[in-house]
Amino acid sequence: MSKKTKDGSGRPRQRRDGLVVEQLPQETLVYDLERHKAHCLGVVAAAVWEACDGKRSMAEIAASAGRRAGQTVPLDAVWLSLRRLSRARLLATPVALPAARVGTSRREWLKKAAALGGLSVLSITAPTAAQAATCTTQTTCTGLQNRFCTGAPCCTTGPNPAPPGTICKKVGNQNMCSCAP
Amino acid sequence: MGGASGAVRRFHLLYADARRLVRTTERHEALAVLENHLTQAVAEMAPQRLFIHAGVVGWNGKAIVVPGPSHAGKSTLVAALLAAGATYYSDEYAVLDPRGRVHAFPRPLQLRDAREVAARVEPEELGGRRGLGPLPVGMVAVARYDAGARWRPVRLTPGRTLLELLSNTIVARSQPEAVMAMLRSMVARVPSFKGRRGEAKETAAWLLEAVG
Repeated sequence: MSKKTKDGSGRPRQRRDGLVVEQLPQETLVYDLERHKAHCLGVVAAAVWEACDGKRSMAEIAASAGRRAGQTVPLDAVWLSLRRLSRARLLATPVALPAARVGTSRREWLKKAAALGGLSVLSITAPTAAQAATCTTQTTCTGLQNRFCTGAPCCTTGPNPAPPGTICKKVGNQNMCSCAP
Repeated sequence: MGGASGAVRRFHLLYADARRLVRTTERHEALAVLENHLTQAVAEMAPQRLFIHAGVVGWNGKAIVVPGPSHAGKSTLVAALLAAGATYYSDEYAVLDPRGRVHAFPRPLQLRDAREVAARVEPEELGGRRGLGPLPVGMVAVARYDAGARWRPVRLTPGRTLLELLSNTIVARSQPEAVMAMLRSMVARVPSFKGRRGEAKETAAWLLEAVG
């Protein structure tokens, strides 16, 4: 069974650079300043993350995380957490799964995670100022007669996103509004 | 400006510094763009205030904050809450101060009809009153409209609540550290719920009862 990280050390290390970390009673929030992603780590995932100092082995991470989380953290939970932390790019080097676990399906991982609890790593992409503001969907805009054009920015996310920097306006002599620059 | 036929077409032009915001023959469009631009500028630059895209009403001295993107049904839910007796704070922004209180941003509600045409409606027309003073947040409710859905909310953890608020915060990218620090204490003490809602009236009644 291989338990090596991709740098070959086998001892995962948490990433610290470019992150803002806030502690909540049962969760840890991490904001990635490079990717503009925010992550909410469950209690076990956070404890595993904190334990990844680049020196501890998997068994030592499990023991340390268990003390921090106040509950037993089995090796399966460590692997599940590392997999999720790695995907969220919160480890300095990605973690390679051991050969015995590579074939595990996503469904099986989810089952295990649900059984163990506290392993969630929920992520969102932080919106730009324009994305967080009021907007008109392109579908709505193009369905409006031209005397009702909103003049609001068109939504650049969701179904049928409009090109960035467009507003819902009358274009030429068209009867209906358009999302246009 | 001269057209091909020689007829004069008059355009309304709006600039922000050297950047052209709009060039249109429709005056109301130019004014709408101006209003949107000014609102956005205030939301991005207001010192000591955090602007979250959300509907807000007051009830028994507490604020109910309904964060969500455009077209999630915030204004409709706010209208139903006003009809049930809540006071109006905003259908667009929850304006938070460093103490975690919400201030009013009481522009007229923008309610869309079946054709998706927005009409501006004063809260008094819906039987509501305007809130004046700031209120502590009593509840965060993420309630997205889904035709035919029944409101069966789940409780959100503080961390997930913070993510929901962050994903609707104007300065989430430009000031993430300040935003997270400002929201942290609030989400730790405020009950939060998330679900899909059908009729606004049913959800409004639930929210008012839950916030107490």
